[in-house]
Amino acid sequence: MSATSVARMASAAAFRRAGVKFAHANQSRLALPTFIRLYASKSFPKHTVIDMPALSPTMTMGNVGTWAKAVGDSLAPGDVLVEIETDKAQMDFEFQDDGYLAKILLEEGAKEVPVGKPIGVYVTDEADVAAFADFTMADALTEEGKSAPAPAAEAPAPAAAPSTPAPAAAPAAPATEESEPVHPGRILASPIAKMIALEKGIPLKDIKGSGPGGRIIKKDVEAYQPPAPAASKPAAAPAAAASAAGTYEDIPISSMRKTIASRLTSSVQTSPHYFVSSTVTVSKLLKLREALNSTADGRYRLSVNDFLVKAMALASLRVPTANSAWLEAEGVIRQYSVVDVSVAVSTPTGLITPIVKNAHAKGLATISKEIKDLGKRARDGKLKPEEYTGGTITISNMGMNSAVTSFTSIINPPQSSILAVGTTERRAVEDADGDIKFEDVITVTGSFDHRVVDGAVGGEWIKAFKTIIENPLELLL
Amino acid sequence: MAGSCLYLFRRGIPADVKWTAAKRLLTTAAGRKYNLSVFISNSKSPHFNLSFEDYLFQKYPPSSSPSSIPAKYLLLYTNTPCVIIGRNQNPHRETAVAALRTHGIPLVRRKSGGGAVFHDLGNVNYCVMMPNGDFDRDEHALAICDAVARIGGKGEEGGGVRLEVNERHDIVDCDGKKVSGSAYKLQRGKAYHHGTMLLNSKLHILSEVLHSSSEYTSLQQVEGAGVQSVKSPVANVGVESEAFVEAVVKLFRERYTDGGDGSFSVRFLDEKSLLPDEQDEVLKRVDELQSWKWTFGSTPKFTHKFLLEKDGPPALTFAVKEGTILAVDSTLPESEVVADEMVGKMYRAEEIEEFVPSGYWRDRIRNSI
Repeated sequence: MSATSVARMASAAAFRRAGVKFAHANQSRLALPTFIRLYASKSFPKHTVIDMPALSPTMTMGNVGTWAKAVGDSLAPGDVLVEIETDKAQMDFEFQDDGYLAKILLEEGAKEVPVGKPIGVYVTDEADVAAFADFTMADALTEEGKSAPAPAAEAPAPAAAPSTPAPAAAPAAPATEESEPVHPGRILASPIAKMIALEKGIPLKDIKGSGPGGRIIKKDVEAYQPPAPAASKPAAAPAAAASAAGTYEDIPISSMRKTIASRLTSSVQTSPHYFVSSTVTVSKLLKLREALNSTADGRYRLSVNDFLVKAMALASLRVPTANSAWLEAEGVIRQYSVVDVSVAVSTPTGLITPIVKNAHAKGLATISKEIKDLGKRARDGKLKPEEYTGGTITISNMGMNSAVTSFTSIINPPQSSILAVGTTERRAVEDADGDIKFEDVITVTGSFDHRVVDGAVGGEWIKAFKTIIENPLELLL
Repeated sequence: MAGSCLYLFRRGIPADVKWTAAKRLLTTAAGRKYNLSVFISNSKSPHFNLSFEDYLFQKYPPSSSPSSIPAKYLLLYTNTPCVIIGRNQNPHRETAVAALRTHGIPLVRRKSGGGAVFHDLGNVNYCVMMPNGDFDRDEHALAICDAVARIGGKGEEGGGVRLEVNERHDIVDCDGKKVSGSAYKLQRGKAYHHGTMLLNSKLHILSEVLHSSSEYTSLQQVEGAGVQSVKSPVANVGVESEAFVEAVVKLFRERYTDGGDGSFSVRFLDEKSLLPDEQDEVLKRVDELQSWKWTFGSTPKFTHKFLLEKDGPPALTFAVKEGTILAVDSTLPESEVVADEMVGKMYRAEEIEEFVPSGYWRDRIRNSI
């Protein structure tokens, strides 16, 4: 199982725990029969279904209590949405996103609702709320049945292997009139365009959209000339068989997936990877973070990831061999004197690595703001190419996933190092007096390219990183 | 720990006892140390005590960094006779509302979930507040069992009354009779477990208010979405309140603190000894708990049927939501009950009496809601 799919499953599971799934009315990741289903069903604006959350690790079902918000109310992170009671425990379900409540599917008093069952719907646009008056539980359940590869991911929940996304590779990719939509993998099309495409049997992904945001409109479909040899995925026949009642589902390979596939395969096949792990004590780091956040006054909010990025940048200055690129074509190993850290971010359409440039010279607050901004725009698909191409070293943080103690990452070519960060654990360690105390530790695993970074050097880099993390005041040097 | 493991394999030990022993091995927060703050209320007012509990929970610091010592609060209080129902319960189903009024027994709806309980001076209530991550339904129930085991005895295994925790997380005595009921509330970062402890309660009154069946109650039906209590046979533990409080505080101190400076404190409090800003907050909550809107108005949607004879058809049916009458279905003539006028009114006897000319029905309604 590749690191990417592990990461996607993990982030999907995290997302499901949060009780939210994605449902895009215009999503066309599936083949032709889905168009049939979309056409036959009502069409709702972009929205998200809210499921009964697991508010405690052992919760399997709950009773719906008082709804603290009414349809049309605005929702902000931290707002209590509805009260849930389970097994004598009264709990507040706190909402974690911005939006407006569009529909309540299960009213107060609904009993024994299993975790994962839809209870409501929210939208990001207030104007869309009225459209959901007729939205029913059946609609919510049908949508969840459709979105088979759970695509979603949590806030900055980066996944294992990095890659540069489709738009960079697409111009180089061969062939046809393949449209490059703004959101690779998700095709925007007007309802009438979809109808006509359906009637004519034209796969939408082969049509170049000329409407706003690359949207496919009626005249695009009418003007479309199917190129004979460059056939799209054989959608019709086999997909028709793989309908809801089938044992599998064929998902056409999007250009983003193709890119990820080719880059990672070539990376593993060409660069001799080796891995160095270290268990790093983060107690002092967490204290420093707490101290800085307590005096933040709204100017910033530091996360552990911000510290790790900065520490990596400084370690890379101390051991610049790990901060290099293997450029065989030019016959050189380029050793950088600046550190641009690529931060792996998981988006609904795949993996992307926006870059924090000059991380060695930036302060923690700046790094924090940039990562938040880049992450948000990455998920909205609004990154500019120069923001995700390049980078001298990468970080992949799965600390959000409490099950992942450690993992290994695939290097992002032409870089020669990548750091995989696991979750925080508490360990018993012996202190100076011979007593036992508890420390918070994380396990980091660096993957290095042996063509550039020899074993001992990789170890030196890890040592430098560990020194900085365990003595956070070194960040000042 | 090893001893309790072997215990599970011995024969001849009743299943529920083994269940408790198993639970001791599995509780999540075993071994963690806290800064324990104990609060003992000298007030006997149910509204004050529940309000203070809610205020204390708001003040409880949610868990921040995983490495600092978290706080644990233990609150102990006793109330004059009252009936406390869970957050999502229907008082009409759980108790005879009018009978309580006649006897001067207040009805209070608490903020945590669960079922209906009766408090009186022979019952001591405990509330343990902990970080969300350490929430465990059995941990503190087991601690209380251990504390009671020590009362009057010598050391941990000796002399006192033996109690166990059953699979519904209730504390039962060796005959399986319930001596304590629990309820919980979880919020972001923190959670509490509170429960009752029947030490010397007047059980016949408990039975009367919670499981009563007067001539009127058998002629009523309540249907609705509220949480229903699970009735269990009850018994008293039989120890003195003071001995219980002392034993619990002592055990909690030994088990949950590491004995360092600042790791343990006790505060006695009542209405008069609160600081001014605490008073404001608590009074705010007292007002809320005493309001009709919270006590009755937040009952989940229900229908209340009044029958003329047992197992007969309903003569009068009210559909009520959020304390307001949504609809009335009546087979009675207008000379007895003017049903249409009642729609939209609050479901209180004072509000709808004027629409009930019939003396019999007025009596019934006054005695039922």
